[in-house]
Amino acid sequence: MVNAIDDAVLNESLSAVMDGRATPADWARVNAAWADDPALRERWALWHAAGDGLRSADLLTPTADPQRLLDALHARLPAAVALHPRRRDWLAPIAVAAGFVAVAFGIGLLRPSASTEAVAAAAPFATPRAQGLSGLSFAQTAAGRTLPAVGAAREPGLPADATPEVIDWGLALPEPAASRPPP
Amino acid sequence: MTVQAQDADVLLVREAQAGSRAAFDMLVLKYQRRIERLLSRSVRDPADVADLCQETFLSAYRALPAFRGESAFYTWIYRIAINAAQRHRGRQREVHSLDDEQGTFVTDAHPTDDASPEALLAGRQLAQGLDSAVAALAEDQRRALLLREVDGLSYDEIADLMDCPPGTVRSRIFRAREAVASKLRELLGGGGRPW
Repeated sequence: MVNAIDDAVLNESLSAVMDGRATPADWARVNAAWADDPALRERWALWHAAGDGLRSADLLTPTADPQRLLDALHARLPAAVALHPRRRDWLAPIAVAAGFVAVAFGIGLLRPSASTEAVAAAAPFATPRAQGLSGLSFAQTAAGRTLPAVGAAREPGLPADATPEVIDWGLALPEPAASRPPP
Repeated sequence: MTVQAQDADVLLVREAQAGSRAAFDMLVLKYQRRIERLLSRSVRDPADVADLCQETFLSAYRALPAFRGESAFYTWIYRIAINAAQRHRGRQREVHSLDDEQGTFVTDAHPTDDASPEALLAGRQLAQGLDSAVAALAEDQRRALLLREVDGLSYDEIADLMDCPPGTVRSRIFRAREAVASKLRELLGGGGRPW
């Protein structure tokens, strides 16, 4: 009985996903069940077949085996990894970091009598040397795009001249040739 | 492609870009039929259509990080499929020109799968089954389903028209889909599909 209720809730969530009206709870439910629930995948395919058929009778034709297509794709796809991490994951630290920079800059402006050296000493994080990041901004640092400071301890096992890895989560890759229209 | 269909894809694309294999699977199953149909217009051999369909979705998966949502997902994947079909035809021409040089030109005029009498009959039976399944629905479920699927209205718009809360619309559409899918499942049941 409980399972039947759970199934009904899950399938109604799937229907909401299909209509673009899923709540976070709907999506979490469907996403968690999808891989291990062939009935859920069958429903999804059948509902779309019905929707296509209602919009155009021409579209209601038998397709190649959907599960075979998924199996073939899964065999050729890399392991599930985040292709494009959510922007909100790194926007927040950038916003916080930008706030710090603005405050540091504001402190410098509000102290007209202080010399340049005194301002630098009062707000060390605003200077590139203090960052030790070879051109990276404080915001980038806070967002996780970090490089070790010159002379700082390196990871064990890395050669002395190894170039530190910069992980640029924000940049999207260029559109591949496969998706470009021909000249 | 309705505005509502695009809205539905936004969630799936975003989740697929964030690493959800389920979301990518859903996009594949949603568009498999249309991509196969598109490819079968320019590629005759059903086995080639299946290969190119697979190639299309594989290319889409790899290019997904670059998809910024400036066009509808279907428009984007449509172009990928068209390019895959053009590359295939280019390869075919090369093979045929080589065969031609050797005096062994082979025509590729195989009958298309969707032009076969069996496929036409199967499509007609499915359409009739779908019509009868929709006709058998309760009036409020049928109206909600057609307003959603055919007219592309949102839950809120349907709720206004039917004078009921959006939650009721969501429930009616879900129940209508379940009933129609049950009928379609019977019609497709003889195909020996693993699900």
